[in-house]
Amino acid sequence: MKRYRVQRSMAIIIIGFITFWNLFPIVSYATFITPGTPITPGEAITPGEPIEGGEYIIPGEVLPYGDPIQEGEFENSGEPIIEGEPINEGLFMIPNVPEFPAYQPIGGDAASPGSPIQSGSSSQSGNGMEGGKATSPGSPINGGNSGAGGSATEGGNPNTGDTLNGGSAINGGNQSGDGEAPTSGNPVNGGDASQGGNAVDGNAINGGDGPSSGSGGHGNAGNSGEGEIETKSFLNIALQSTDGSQGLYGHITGFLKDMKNYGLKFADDVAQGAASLYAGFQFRQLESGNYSVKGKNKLNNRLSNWFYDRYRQYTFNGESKAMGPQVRYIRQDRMNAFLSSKSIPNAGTMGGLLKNSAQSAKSAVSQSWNVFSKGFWKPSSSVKLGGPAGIILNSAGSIYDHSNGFSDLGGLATTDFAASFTTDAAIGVASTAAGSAASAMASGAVAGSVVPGVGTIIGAAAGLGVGIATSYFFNGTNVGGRIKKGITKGIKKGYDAIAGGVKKGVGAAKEAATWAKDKVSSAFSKLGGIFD
Amino acid sequence: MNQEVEFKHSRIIPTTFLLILTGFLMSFIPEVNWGLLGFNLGLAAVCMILFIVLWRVHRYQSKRYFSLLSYVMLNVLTIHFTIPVFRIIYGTAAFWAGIVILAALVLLPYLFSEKIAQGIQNPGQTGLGKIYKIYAPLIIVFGTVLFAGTIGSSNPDALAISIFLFLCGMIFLSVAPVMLITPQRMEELENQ
Repeated sequence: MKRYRVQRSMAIIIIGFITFWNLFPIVSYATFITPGTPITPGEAITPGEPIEGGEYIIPGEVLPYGDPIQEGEFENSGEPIIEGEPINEGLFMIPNVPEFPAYQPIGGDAASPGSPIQSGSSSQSGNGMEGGKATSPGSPINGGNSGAGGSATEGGNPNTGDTLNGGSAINGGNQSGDGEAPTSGNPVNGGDASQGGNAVDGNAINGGDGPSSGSGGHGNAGNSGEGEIETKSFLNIALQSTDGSQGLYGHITGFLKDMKNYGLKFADDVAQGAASLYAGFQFRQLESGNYSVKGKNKLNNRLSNWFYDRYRQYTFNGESKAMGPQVRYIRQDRMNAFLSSKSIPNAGTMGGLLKNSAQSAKSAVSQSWNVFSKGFWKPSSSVKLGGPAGIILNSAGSIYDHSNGFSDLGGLATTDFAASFTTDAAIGVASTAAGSAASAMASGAVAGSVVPGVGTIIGAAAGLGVGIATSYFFNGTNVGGRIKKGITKGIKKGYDAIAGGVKKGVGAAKEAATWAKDKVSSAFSKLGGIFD
Repeated sequence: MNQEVEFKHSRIIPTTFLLILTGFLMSFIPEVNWGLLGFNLGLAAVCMILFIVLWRVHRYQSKRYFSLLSYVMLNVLTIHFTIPVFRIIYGTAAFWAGIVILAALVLLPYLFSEKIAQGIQNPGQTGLGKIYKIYAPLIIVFGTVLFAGTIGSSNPDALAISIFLFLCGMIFLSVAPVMLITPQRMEELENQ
């Protein structure tokens, strides 16, 4: 028991030590805590004075309601917007037929389709809808005098006053005045719509004055106006039989023109030259100054022989002659005559060189176009589609255009037709003369060379190339088209001036005819003379 | 062969006029190019100077003079006639094919000029002569095929005309080197 007590005392001592060790630092730091001053009791609370009741509130006079709100007048919102009419101008774009494989680019740039259709300016919406003035709440209700209560009830805004004062509720611009409500702008603007421009890549649609939208409300759908010069495709120019702008008639006359250009003239020249080359036909100058004629007497193929025989034919002193089996040695004069008939000027004597060139151009122009020459009226000229037939073919297009497809011949009595007719004829003259002159000039130069025989083909190629290019220049290019148009206008002015004078009498008409004959003949003479 | 050529008979003016005419017209295919027009006309002017020089040097040998004049004329005509097609097909594979053909026909005829000359004089006796004899008419046939190929197109442009001119240029190129053969040598060739 005693031992138990000792152990208990030791435990208490140890706990005391541990407690002291832990609390001593705190106690030592808490020495600043000092006891405050004791609280002294305050004074006792005394009750205040009792609250007195106020005066009774007397309600004020009853407020009368205001006048009912009168609706404002609705303004007319303008005329309804009428959409522009769709554009009917231009041609439908015909998709291209796939090209021949030979023309398709390999790996390079694809066939450039030209610029895409430019949509032009989008529709301009014009002035938007202006909402007009908002609802103005008007004057609020004055609550009146509230008696003694002051402003007891302020009514806020029960009365909207000019609540529905529409004002310019829907202001579509100047609707009432045809205004520019929604200006449709240029719905489909082919380039500069207002100026025609090039709607579809280049000159596909020469819109002239495009669809000018005019006024939105009741604007004009569009004025087609005058377009620019419409360029023809090359195909129509090179192969006129493909030109269907004048219907079946255009195809027929075009076919005949193609036959003249490609079938009769060029093919005939080349076929004759090829046949003569195949037969070994050539001249060799002898020491005596004369020439020996070499070449086969006859070709086995009938067709080739027919061309060969025609090649050997020529005109000498007005008589038709031919080089052949019996004619193997010729003099200089016959040589000259033969070369002259083949448009190959004499290679030996230079005197006839330019002369032959000039004669070639003169005869081609005269026989094809000069109505006052005898050669013009020869059946042989018409057989070759020159002469009167050539005039008709080259100018019938003007007749078609000015007679409404031959249905109204009254249009032929106008100076418009006369000017167009003359221009077509003049271009025909220019093409014929240029091609013929080029052929003569090219073959003439080669004729004097070491291989005079190729002059035929060289001349034919150069002449046909220049002839087609001349025709393309006037009918296929913008510059040429403007020139053609300018010529037509100038001629028309001249005809208009002359027309007044001719009407004065038959005598004046006869004088005019004589004058025209002299001038035309002189002009053709001078035209050929430029090559002298 | 050795006749004297007077200036008024020298064909300098008409031939220069021809080159001016072709240079002018070919500048408008497919549409006008004023720079090309200036180049073509300048080329024609240079040719006129060249013609005068040739005339002064060779005026006592007419055949030689006209051969050289024709040589210059044919080469310039070739330039004028072939440019349109290259303007049109530029940027496509056909352009390079055309360049290759042109380069070949610029070079090869010089290597075979005497054979070409014999072929032209006697087409039935030499292979090249037969080729020449067939090629010239084939231009028409080939041109017809080209035209037929463009019938289906609504916008054939000036391609067909330029191809035709290109083929004409090929004829000019194939013939041009023959003009460099001297008259004496040509006589020898004819007598072979």
